[in-house]
Amino acid sequence: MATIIKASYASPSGPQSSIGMAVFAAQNCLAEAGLPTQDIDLLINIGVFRDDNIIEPAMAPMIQKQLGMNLDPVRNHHLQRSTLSFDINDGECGFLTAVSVADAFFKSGSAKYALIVAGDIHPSKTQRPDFPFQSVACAILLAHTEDTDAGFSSFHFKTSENGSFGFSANVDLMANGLTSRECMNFTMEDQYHDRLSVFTSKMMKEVFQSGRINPADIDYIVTSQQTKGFGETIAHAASLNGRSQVVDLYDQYGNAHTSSLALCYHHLASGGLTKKSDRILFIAAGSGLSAACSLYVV
Amino acid sequence: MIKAQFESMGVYLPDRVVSTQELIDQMPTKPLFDLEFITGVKDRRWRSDGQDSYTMAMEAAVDCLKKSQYQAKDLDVIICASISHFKGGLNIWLSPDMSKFLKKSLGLRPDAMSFSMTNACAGMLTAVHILNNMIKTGAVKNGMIVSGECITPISETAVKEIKETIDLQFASLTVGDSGVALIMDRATDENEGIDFVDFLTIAKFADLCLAMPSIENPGLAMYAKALEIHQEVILRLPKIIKYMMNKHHFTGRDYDYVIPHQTSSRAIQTALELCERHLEVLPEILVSIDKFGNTASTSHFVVLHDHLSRKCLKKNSKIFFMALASGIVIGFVSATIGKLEACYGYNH
Repeated sequence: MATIIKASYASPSGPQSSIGMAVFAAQNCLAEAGLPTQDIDLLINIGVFRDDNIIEPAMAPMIQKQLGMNLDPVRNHHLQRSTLSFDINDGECGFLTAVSVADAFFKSGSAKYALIVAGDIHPSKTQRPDFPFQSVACAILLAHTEDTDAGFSSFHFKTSENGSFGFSANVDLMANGLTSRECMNFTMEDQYHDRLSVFTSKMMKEVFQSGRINPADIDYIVTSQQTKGFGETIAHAASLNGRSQVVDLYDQYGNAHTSSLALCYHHLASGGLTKKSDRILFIAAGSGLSAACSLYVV
Repeated sequence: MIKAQFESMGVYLPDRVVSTQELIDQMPTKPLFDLEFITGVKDRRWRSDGQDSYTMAMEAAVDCLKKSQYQAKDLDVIICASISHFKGGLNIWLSPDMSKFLKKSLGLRPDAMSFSMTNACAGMLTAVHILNNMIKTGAVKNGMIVSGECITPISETAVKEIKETIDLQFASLTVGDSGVALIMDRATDENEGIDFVDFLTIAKFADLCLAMPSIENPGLAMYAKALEIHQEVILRLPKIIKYMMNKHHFTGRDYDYVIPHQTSSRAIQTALELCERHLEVLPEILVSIDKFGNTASTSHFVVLHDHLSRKCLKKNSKIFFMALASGIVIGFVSATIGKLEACYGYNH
């Protein structure tokens, strides 16, 4: 049994709200799949930034509410069909973390369909020049298959042992005072992107050396979009050049943060660029320093 | 299939005790009702200067590792499940997520997974659901779930801002600070460990309780329609219990204890009495709300710690954990906790 992508959606348009963007992407993704909203067992929001810096409840139930997804299974007499929703924060690696969590839910029989959503936007719900990411709404519908040749495998996660975290985002309720609902302080260290690229390349080399993923078999490489050429640099450093194509959408969309991997996958899928049995290497990297990868067979 | 178990638990409770009366004495607008009588909260633990979500999570994690057969480097994953993510004062950290700080400080392997997840007061039990599935399916062999809940800042805001006799911030006066860490691994005894976990989100009521920065005073505020939440939950809980009993084949007779989320002693009693006719027998309800208040995502395990520390539980207790959280999240974890009893010095 393996986890596969049934449908995807990603777009820089959508309402100026992290909840609204996730809802917008989810609706489009489910429409593409032709799957009723109520069939979703698991809804995971991987967006990091939250409207008004709300810390409770999780964003996911509010997204679920706006989607009208199994809102009241008791009163509507369908307790056998309900949704569990929660948030995962693992920055740019959140997509692969959520896929691995969904994979465990599928394999244990706790879910049949999972929807991963993100729509990072500044907490003020406005466009701010200091917001270091581009807002892209994304949704990925996951399901499981008995086809053992398809789907996600070889998850690998890594964080740096020493040194600083590279990038941080925080809001200090005392220093930011009465504006804290609409504030976020971003700090990016010098050489962050270079350090991250070196760290991620090293992780990929280790994965290839361990034999868990064969670099010669890769058709497409989908990565975080920290800078233009970020994926190309990692592919080159990890000796992944050759026939595999790196998807780089930085010029069109900028750094889409938690939506980057879904955006790049959607570019391939919606453009009809992939075919059955194509092998896509997902590589995520971000603050921590942290990196993650997984192989996906279409 | 492999079964998962609770291997060890560490708890941190700040030394400082603050009574409900002390809080009320500070309020410019006093409640017309007896808050302590209605909620059952007499005292709660309160952070001292320099303590925050991170420090309390660290204290709990270190305590947990002391009681565990595992060292930090043995762990395959660390999941941070708190609502509050304060580090360095009232400073909410979103990036990197809190698990990265904890992972580095505790000395986990670089290739161990680490992430934060939030699901309001159901956070730790939802993380149990996640880790249970990851262990059962062989994705990991073991892992730590940790939560440092620094939530008395909402009480400080409520003390300043409550102006009406019926105010959305009254529930903020019932909370307390804490840290809890759990290590889970594969069960080696079929009678030990987690039998089932099942959760649902009744999102129709997702906005009945919101916590966010205040716009009246610097700090964090929680706005909860507590009575409305209680009403909607008790209307639905008996049917959910009945459904879960049929699905997972249990009755109240199968359990030694039930540990509900610690909202208020009266609300807990009412809700569970309504479930009694389905359960056939209502197991003994464990409550420690009088001493610790509502500690959010850690609440079930603070209660368990309180009772384990006093060695007043039966050996190899089988426990029915009931999550109730903003969202509205309702969830259940069924587990036998012999390993935790052993790490609290029970002789089996």
